[in-house]
Amino acid sequence: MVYFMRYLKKNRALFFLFCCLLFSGFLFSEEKNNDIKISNFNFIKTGKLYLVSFNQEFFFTDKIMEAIKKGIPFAFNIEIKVIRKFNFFWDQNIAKDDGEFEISYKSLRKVYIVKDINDERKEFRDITEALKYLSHIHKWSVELEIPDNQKYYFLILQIKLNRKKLPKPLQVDFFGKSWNIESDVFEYPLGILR
Amino acid sequence: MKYVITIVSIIGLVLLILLTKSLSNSDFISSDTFGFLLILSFIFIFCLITLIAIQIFRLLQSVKKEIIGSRLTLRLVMSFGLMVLVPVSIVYLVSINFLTKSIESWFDVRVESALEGGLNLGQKTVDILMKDIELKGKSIAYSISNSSIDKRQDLLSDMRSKFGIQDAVIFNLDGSIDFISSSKNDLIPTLPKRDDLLQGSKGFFGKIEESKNNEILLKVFVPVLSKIKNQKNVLDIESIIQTLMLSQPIPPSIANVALAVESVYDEYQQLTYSRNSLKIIYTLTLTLVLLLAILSSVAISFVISRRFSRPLSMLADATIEIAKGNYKKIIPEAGKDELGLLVKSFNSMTNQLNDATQNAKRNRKRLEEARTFLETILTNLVTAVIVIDKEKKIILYNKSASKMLDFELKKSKGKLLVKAIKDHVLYEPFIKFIDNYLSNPKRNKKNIQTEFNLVKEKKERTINLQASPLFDGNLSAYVLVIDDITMVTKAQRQIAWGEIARRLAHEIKNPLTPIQLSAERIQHKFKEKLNKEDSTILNRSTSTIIKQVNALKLMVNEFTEYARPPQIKKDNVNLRTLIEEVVDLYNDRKFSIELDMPKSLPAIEADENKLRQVLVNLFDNSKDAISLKKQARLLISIRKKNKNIVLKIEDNGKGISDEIVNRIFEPYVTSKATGTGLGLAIVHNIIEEHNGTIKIENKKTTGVLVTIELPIKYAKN
Repeated sequence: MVYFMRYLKKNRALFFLFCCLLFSGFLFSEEKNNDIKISNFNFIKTGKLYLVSFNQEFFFTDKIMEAIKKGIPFAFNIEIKVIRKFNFFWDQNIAKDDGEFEISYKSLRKVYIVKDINDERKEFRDITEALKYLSHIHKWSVELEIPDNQKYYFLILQIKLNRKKLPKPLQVDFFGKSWNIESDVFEYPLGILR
Repeated sequence: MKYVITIVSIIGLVLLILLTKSLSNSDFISSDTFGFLLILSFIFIFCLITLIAIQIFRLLQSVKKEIIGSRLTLRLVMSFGLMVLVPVSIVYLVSINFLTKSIESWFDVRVESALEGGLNLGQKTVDILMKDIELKGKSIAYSISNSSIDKRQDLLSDMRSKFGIQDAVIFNLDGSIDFISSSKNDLIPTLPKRDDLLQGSKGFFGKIEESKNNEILLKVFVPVLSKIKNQKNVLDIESIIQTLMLSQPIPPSIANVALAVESVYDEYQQLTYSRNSLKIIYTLTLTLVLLLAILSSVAISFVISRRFSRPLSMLADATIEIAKGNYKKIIPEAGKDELGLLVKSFNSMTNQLNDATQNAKRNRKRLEEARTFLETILTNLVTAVIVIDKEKKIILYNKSASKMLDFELKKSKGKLLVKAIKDHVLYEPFIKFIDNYLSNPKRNKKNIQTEFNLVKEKKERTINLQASPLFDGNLSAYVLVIDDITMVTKAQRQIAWGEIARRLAHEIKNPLTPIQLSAERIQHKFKEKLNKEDSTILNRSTSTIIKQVNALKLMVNEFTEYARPPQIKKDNVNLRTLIEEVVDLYNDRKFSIELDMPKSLPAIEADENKLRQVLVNLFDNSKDAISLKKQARLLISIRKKNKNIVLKIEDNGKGISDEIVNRIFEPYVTSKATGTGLGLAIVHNIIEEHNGTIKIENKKTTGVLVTIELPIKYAKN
């Protein structure tokens, strides 16, 4: 213990850095909630575009469901990107595209308005129906430039709640983990396309 | 460090302003910069805390090391910290409380109920309007279905107009328009979605739509039945062949109110969800603002405290330096405020003190020099000086005092003078006199003088004592000045004798020659004329007169010699040769003379005749002293001693009595029956005229030792 204390005394800068890292770790650590589950992924090339279809299952908490019912608009970002994986280095981003779908409630008319990934608007009397409608992403056309040698490339898909479109006080609720809605990172090896 | 604290404090203040602005500007909050600002603030607060901790640690170290000014700085920092902490904390607590209550008040149950009520009212209004259109739609659909095809258009227009509907359209099952009637003749109504038509063809279906210009449009879809008649022309089956769509906007006054209520309700619901977030964000921001304010203030307080305490520390430091004796310490001037004035005054005081010290040093040096000078004088003074205080204790004495009183005064300093010398019986009269003098308040303020004759070891000394009181405002001490005036007394006596001799020579010598001549004439004239008996008597008497006159003449001559003024005829005299010449005069002696005279002796500057007279006189005395001795012996020796020649004449006679030996050089002092007592007095005078010394003393064994010391080089005294 004495030797450790002496070591710390000699390496104050190191100790200070360690404290900073520890502090930042506590400050910025977030518990990952996989509130959206992606399945039945389908990726088809049509000309220059790719058509992406998949199912997404929403596991929203009661708080979120209630928030939707209370009229808080929820916009979700779908991010799709092509990366090259390296064993001993960071992954390299090759191409990227994104889309958005949204659900909101109109209390006067008592309808859930849904805007899907293709910017189609639909109204539903029931939230379950609205979410059911949103759970099928069908033929979402994305523009990606994928290199020829696809062996080392992966398609990454992730859905996240766009917090910037939440009401302003909720945007800065850094400590409220309820609003960190996101799916797990879905990986699709492009080598399969061959 | 001063600049680091200043820069950090400025950054803190900037962050403080940005955070405060972010609270009042929602657009600012929404951006990512707010998050960045929060993280930056956290990091900055951490840095500030570290910086302050380092400062506190250093300050405490300084306090521990007792560095001057550190305690004052600590106190100032604590005072500044408290001055900031207490009011800011109160404001913070009040703000948090106010904020929490304000946020809570936004979500009052009554507000929520009112908003829900308003929304419900809007919904009910829309429902009623929808129900109304539904009934109208069903009525039109029924009328249409019972009318012939050619009359349907007119009927539709009449009924639409009658019910006050904006648009009425009859769609075919394939979605094409069969009949249309609209209050806005210039506009074609918006076509419905196929799904809506499909749904409407199956049964009544109502829908509320919002247009972009805040218009609420009620749409109803009602199936139009066609009656299929059998062969008897009787209605047999009713089938749906068309769909009626009615579009009717809600009156703008109602629509606007309903939409406004919906908007407010939505916002309220959103706020309800943001309630905790708002509390956290505002509390967090306020806490950050508080921390930034307090920490920045504390950091600044270090700089301010140091600025305040620096001149005082320097003053304290300088005071210590001055206490150590460094009066040259000058403090750099610190502005024109009171502290600057204090520093200026201090510097001025230091300068004055320095000057005063330098003056004091100079005076002390002068005093020291004067004291040393006085001490040197006292030390080298032949006169004995003793200073005693009022209690008769010895304060000061000089070397001569010990020498003259013939005992060591070193151990007697601080002791009573009377006690110091009381063991010495010799000084009994001396002690008595001093005691009487000091004890007598009438006498002890005046100068007195007296003489004492002290006899020690048969040697008589004449001491002159002078006592003077010293006044330092009051009577503070006495100075006793003691002089050995034995020699002076002797000299005075000699002078007196010289005077007597001169007078005797003058008064007696003159009549002696006529007396002698008269006596000789009487003898000569009456020798033949008187008878034999008378002649014998005359002859004997005149012979006696002549003899006594001759004796008187001899005596008068000796007196003349004694009284003559000193007159030296200087010449180089070889003392050895002179002694040998004088010794030759005693060839017929009946005693032995031993000579111990080195050949290499230098000649001395002296009067040869006078020295011869001295030698003859001394040899005669020795001869007389040893004449009756069987183994009479006279030892004469000469030695060179420094710049003097020492002549010693020793005999082994019976010596001189103690009563005489001390006064041997005085006139008329002699141990011989026939002597005049002037011989040694004349010898003494001659030796003194040569600046020499003569000493006659009895030897320890038997006989007398005469020691004469003459300077080789004569110098007129």
